[in-house]
Amino acid sequence: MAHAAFVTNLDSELAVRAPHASRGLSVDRSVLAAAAGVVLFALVFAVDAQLPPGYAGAMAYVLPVLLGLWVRARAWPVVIAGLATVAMVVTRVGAELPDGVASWLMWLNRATALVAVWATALVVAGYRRARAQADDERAKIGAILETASDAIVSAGDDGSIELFNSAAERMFGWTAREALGQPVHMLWASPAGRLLLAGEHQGVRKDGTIFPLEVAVAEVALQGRRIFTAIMRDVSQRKELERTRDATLRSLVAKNEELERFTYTVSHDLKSPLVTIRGFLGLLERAAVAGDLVKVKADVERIDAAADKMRQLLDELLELSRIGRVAGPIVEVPLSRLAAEVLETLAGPVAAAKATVEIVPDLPAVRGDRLRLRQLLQNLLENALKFSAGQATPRIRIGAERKGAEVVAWVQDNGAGIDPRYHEKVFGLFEKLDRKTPGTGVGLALVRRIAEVHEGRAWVESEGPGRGSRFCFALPAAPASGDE
Amino acid sequence: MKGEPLNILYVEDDDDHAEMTIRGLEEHHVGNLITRLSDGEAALDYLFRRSPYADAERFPRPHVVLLDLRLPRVDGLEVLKAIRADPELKRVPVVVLTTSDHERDIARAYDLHVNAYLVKPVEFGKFLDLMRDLGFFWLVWNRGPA
Repeated sequence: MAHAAFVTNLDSELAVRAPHASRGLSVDRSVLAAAAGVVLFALVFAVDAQLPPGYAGAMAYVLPVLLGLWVRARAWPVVIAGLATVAMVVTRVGAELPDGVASWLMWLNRATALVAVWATALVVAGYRRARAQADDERAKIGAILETASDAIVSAGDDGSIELFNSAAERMFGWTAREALGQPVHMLWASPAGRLLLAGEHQGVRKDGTIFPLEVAVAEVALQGRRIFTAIMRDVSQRKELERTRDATLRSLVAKNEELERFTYTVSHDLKSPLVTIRGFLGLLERAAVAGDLVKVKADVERIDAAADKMRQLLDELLELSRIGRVAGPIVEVPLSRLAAEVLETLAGPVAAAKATVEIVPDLPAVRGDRLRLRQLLQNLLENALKFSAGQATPRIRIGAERKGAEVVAWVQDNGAGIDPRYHEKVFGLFEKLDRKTPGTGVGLALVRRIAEVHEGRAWVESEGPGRGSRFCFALPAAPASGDE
Repeated sequence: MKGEPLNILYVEDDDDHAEMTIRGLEEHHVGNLITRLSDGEAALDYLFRRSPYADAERFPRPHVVLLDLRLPRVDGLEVLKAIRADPELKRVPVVVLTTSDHERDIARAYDLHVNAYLVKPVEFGKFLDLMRDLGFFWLVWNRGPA
């Protein structure tokens, strides 16, 4: 049986390493074996017929029966054993016995040979059947390996590849012929080790591209040798989906927060002028009935102002909702030019405030929606003008510098300054620290919103009241061209 | 009616609303002494007797605080939180009077043990009714802490 096991193992290795070569080889072998069998049979028959009865010539019929190991026709061992039986009997029936040889002895001799021949035939047939079953099993497993959508790779304990299925060929770009015998670590982007390791890895294709892999590993011991088999799945699509899902979720959460802010604002700030309008309409009615024209005029003015405030709030709310919804093209925006433009637009208010505005030369460029970024910077400059109006000489500086992948820009003033407690609150929608300052308090909310839709941030640095403020925003930097 | 006037601290940033409220309360001749402040920080300074409200004679502790929620600097809920966190002030009745009927505001105000939550009616007639009821309730019917 050890012999049979050796052949099976040899065959299986042949099938794995060169799956298409084995068939052509076995055709030749089968024909050769059959031809040799016929010749051997005739030879044994001729010799046996010539030998005097009592000599054990028939034992040699075992040889053509044994050739059934290689002859493809499965009936071979039984047919040859049958023919041998007939031949053994025919050559001895009615034969003359030499002196001293008893008839029973001669027939015992024949019977022994028959048992040997038939035992061989049964062993060969049994082996053939086992091998056929093993072939079927292998074909089944081979079909599974080839149709599996996951890459399946086996390697021995020396780390060289012994099996490489077609999914592995598609995944890594190597053909099985190229991959077999190569070290398995050529499939890893990182030097994860010589062997196959379970877990998430970075795989590398033949063309050098790197992709995420999920690997499961099984270890089997085959006749003292350890074989590692890895089932690998390319998870780049899943990772991509996860990324998209996370991004969608984030934007959904942001949208939800925005909606929440919106309803909150509507319930507070938009309703407020309405209460004023209805209230003063009531008071106006009374004044009219009493004939107090001075009061009538005053009440009408309050109503008018409230209606105007409401219109302004609505406009600004709509403007805020437009950011992120209506997006312009993302382009490279040089901050120096943008700052100069904004300064030109606000030349009137700057002159009126008697402010000096300095733009730090050679500012870097950022990437973004030009119109929105201009709106952002303009709001910050207006804000700085507004809150440094009390100073004898308002001084404003606009600067920016590159920090890693982003650009941090700032607008600094020597104005009112902000208590650190309110550094977050000032960015709230319709939030004003001092209700007497003009405007509705939308400016900094706009600034932050614009920074956020550019995947940036906006914040304020100030040591406190009277110490001036520095409003900062960080935006993704434009790809460096002037840096080299 | 009781003889003693009711000190009301009224925190409201909107001048128009403040005028309507004060006129509404005065119209019903409830003997009120209304101190109006326009932001949350000032309200805290007043309640905690910080400058410029350090003089306890001129700036007495209120019998009731009328509080708007949307205020500059420190918002109404933070003022409420500070009142409830202070051992001396925590019993002072606080009534929220605001335009917002947002569930989140209402829930948070009650979480901070507000005594009442009133939404300013848009209709002027109802607004006046509310002021009348408010004045009567706190001056006539309600027994405040000693």
